[in-house]
Amino acid sequence: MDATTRGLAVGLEIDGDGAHPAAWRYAAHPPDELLTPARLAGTGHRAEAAGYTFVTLDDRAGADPGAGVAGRFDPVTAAAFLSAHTSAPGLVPVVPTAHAEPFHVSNQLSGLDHGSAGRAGWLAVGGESPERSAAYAVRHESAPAVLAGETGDVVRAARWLWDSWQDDAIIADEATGRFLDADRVHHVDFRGRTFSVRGPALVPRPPQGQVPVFAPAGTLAPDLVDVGIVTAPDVDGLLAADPGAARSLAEIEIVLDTPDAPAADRLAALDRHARWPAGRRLRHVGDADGLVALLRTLAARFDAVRLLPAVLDVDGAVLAGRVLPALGSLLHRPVPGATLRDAFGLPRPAGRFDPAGQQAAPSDRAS
Amino acid sequence: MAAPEPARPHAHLHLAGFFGFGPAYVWSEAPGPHVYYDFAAWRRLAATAERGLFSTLFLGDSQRLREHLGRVTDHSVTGRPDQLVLFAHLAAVTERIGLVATLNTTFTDPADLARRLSTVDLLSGGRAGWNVVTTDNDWTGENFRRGAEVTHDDRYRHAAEHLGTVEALWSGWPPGAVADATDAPAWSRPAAITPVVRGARRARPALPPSAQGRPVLFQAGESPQGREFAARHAQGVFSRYLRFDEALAFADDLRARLVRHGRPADDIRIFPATRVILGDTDAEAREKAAWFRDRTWSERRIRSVVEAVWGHDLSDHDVDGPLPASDPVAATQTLTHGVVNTSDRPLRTAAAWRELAAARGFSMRDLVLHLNDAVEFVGTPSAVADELTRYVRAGALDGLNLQPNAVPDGFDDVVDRLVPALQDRGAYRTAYEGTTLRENLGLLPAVADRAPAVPG
Repeated sequence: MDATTRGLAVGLEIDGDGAHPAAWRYAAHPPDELLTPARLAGTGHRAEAAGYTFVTLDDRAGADPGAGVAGRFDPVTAAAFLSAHTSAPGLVPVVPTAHAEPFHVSNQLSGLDHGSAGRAGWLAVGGESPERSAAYAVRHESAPAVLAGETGDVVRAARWLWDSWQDDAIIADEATGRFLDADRVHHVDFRGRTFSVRGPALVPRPPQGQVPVFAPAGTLAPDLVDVGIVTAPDVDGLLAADPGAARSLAEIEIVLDTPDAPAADRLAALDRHARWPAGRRLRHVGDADGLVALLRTLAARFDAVRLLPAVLDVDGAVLAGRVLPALGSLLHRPVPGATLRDAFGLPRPAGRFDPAGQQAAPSDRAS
Repeated sequence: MAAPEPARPHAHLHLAGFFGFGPAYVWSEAPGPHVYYDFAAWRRLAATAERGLFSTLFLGDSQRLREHLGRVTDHSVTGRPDQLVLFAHLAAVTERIGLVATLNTTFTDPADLARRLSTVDLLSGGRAGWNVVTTDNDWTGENFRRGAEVTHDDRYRHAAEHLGTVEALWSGWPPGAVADATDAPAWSRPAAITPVVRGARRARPALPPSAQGRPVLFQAGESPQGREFAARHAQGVFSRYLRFDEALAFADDLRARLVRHGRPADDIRIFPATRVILGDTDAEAREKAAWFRDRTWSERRIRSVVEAVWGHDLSDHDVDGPLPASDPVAATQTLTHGVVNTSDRPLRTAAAWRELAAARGFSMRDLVLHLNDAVEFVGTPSAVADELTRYVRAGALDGLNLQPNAVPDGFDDVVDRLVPALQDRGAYRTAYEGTTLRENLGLLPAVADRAPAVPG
């Protein structure tokens, strides 16, 4: 279960200019150059060069309606752009489940997996908010049980769709004139609480078979999640938490010392522009060595970490220059050709319609 | 007698690389059957098209795999990656070529669609286009929450509402709203980015305008409502009219409608879909075209066209024999599942086909090939270039939605042989005019970015 043999999978969150709401004031580019191809490609190139196992693309659209960054790319589409600019790191976008069409969500992620040759992941957060409900012109639902059921249904439907083409569906059999074997491409007939999906998917099974699903611990049934995300305000809390999945990931907010200023001073300066609420995630405010020691501690218990730098351009530079190199062989450095599942030691599962998979998968096409 | 001066003596032909949802390929000749889903093959096709100065790539769409007698259609390549995922990937490896996606208003949320299209538009430096389509069948709706029935008459109204919301979201973020320095008072000018409120919907624009303002709108319907929709909103049209007189009549009608809506007559680009097959001699080109037709119209595919109307398996019928003597099993057929549209009247279709087959002495194969006879440009590069130059200079079309005959090398012949012949005639660009799709199509700003010319 731990990272001692595979190494620790280290992910970098790259949305916007960083996790701090005032990050844009310390970015290495003016605000009107954030939403450009050069900026996004550069972020991808730097993450790959630094050796990150994967990057995550959060979705905080509409989250900073005040003075903060008001524009956000669609994460899965931005990840697809990065799939052509990188060759090794996993690409893990948020694709919200609230009010989303499961058929689109499934096809988008499967397309990303094809385009990245097996590097796609899915940060499956509900994304429910009154703002999102209003944007979709649907009644806002706030009961946690209903929302969790909805998210679970979307993930489950997407998983059925990924398996709807068996691995050997394409036969190109000239003798019978069949490009594919219709017995191996299936309607899924998934029935959730609020929707149903007939299927099959629009493309063959993704290269990874199943795109690995990252979800906050405890939000979804364990069979729906590959990587459980643990969030706690301190190390003890992280170590005590149950990831609720086969693989575990700890989240850390990062503010690092730079040659110009200690981390605490930097954070104070950032907070004078806009407050960054603390207390939900573990936050490392300090030097690179301290962070390396923290990561070594967490590696004994976790398969992965997700680093959320306060300022991508500033903290990212220290991470790339001081922290990742110091991890040495503890860091799981991805190599071109390997999949994201490989990085987590997750085998490629048999499909639900494959003879081997039918025994393994519960018949959960209805909830 | 000298030929009359053409209507547009200096017009250039635009080429678009077109990919339908269920394209005909000789898949047995492919380097491997998975090539059709391989992003490397898409990159190769895009690179060739860009080398040939194509104006754009253009994807057709379906949101459900085609089916035949209740099962997925098996005789042809089917399925394609999510269009905007594919285009975001291709945006990273191309520089000038446009990226036009066919996106359905019935099954997408306008705020979601506006943001995803803008993402591709920004990441490509202003090269995105949207071919606006609607679907009115429950069959596709079975894949969606929003599968509710929209009647045919309602669907242009529904599409117009959807498009209106998307356009309002794009208009809601004006140019120059984002600060140009990190010490500005705020990231964006206060109140410059305005939310869109429509009924219960309240959405915030997600992204700034691109180098071309907003994606170029295309439209694909040929009905009077579809043409009106195009005349109001679109700057590109996907059409099927290729016989010269029909193409010219369609183009003239469309341009007249534009003028009635206060737009310049040439503020639209018409792209019929076709194939080009080239040879060193006319005979060689015709031989290649016949080979391609015979190989893509397999017995299984021919039989499936007839089975779709008769409603049952006909594998015991010889395709070189007559149509079945029995009648279709069902009086109604749900639309668009297969390769024929019988307008929901199998018995009537069967009767019409029988009459035609009897009059012309057609076998099943002859009939199906006749029904699917399409206008294609077959000949030497020089002859095809002459013909296309005539079309474009007469104003019968502006471009071709060119279907490749193979993956990944299906554009090589056109780029290497037809494009130079067109350039020799002054009927094709020798360099991209600009960096955006709008510039390379020679278009004005989007209709929604202009002051209204006609009240109401």
